[in-house]
Amino acid sequence: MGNNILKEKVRKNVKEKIAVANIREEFNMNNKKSIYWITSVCAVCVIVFGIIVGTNNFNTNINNDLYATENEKSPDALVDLKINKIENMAMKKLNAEMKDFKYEDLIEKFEFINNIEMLPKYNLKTTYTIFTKEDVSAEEYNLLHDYVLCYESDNKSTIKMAFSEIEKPLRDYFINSQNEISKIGDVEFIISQFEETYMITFNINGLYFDIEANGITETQLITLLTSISN
Amino acid sequence: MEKKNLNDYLVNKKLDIDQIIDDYYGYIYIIVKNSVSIAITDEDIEEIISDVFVAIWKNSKSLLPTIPIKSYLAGIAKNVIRNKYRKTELNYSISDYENNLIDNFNIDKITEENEQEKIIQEALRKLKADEYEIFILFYYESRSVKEIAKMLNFSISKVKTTLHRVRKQIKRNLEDGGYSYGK
Repeated sequence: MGNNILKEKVRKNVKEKIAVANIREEFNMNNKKSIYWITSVCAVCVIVFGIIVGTNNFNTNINNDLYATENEKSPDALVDLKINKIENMAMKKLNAEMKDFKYEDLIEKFEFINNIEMLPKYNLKTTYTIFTKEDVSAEEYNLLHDYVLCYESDNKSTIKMAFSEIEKPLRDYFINSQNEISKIGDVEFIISQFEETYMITFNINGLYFDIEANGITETQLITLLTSISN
Repeated sequence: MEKKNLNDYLVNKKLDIDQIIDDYYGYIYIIVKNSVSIAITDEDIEEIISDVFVAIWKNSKSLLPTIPIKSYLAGIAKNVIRNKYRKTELNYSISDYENNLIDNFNIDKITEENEQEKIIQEALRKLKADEYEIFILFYYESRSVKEIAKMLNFSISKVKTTLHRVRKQIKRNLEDGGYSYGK
């Protein structure tokens, strides 16, 4: 067989094999495709049904009142706070499993936790991890998705800090906001506010964070975020 | 300037496998011909060389962009030949490439992949010429349905229907072969 003919046969063969590999991957036979049938967190897999929070139905009739606070709340000149205010939110179904995780193990794995300057009067209440299924056919919740630390103050205000090594931590609610970006130093945050609760997402050094802080002031919020991001 | 590293063949983060075949087909051909002491058919050569290029495509995402492509291909060729002629004494001497060889073979996984791909290839043999062409344009060249329709002068709906039919046929063959897939 002529070498050029053989070469073209090889080329055709390679194309076909690559196409075959691509469709096989599409069928999700080999690669672990993370389809997160997200679930709510309780001792054992719990279902939370959708409810509407607020006075209106969850629809596009959301008043995202965006306002910016630049350098007003903190003496730090590098703070640029833009808070996406929302009036409505909705819960969603989640499918996950919570497992205990010792704080000592957590700080051994993630040193930055030692440096967090938690607000005064807030005490660590609990730590746990959230597992999801790697794919729909999995029988067990085998994918460690989030680490969660919950703090509580004397007056029952709470700060829940979740972080993940793989993607944004799971949320059991929807919010709709404009996603205006705040900055503290070089770190970018998306801060939303619902009534007295701040929801903050950001990424530092490959870790995805999601914080819910209830009952704190903007100044306290900046202090908290600064301590985590430094 | 001669292209030396994997990085030189990345176009928009995708490996330009056509160019690699153009540049290294002759080199791999000689390795294969010189490595096997037994009589080897053109079909076997074709299969081995194809597997070498498919292997670099499959591994490209996990390889360092600076990896020397020539020696890497030689290393793969050695593995492919060894797997094919495991029970046959070979006269190859490409130990020079050993240091550059990245051997990620997982036998069970590879075997399963090969079985599945063989089933899919058998399904492709039953396709009509235009169905096959649509399949390759979509799954190899990553063309959109709209692009394929324009290229082949088909309606978008015909392309979509054809792809749907091909997928369905492949899934059926895989299920007949004992494999399931994510839904």
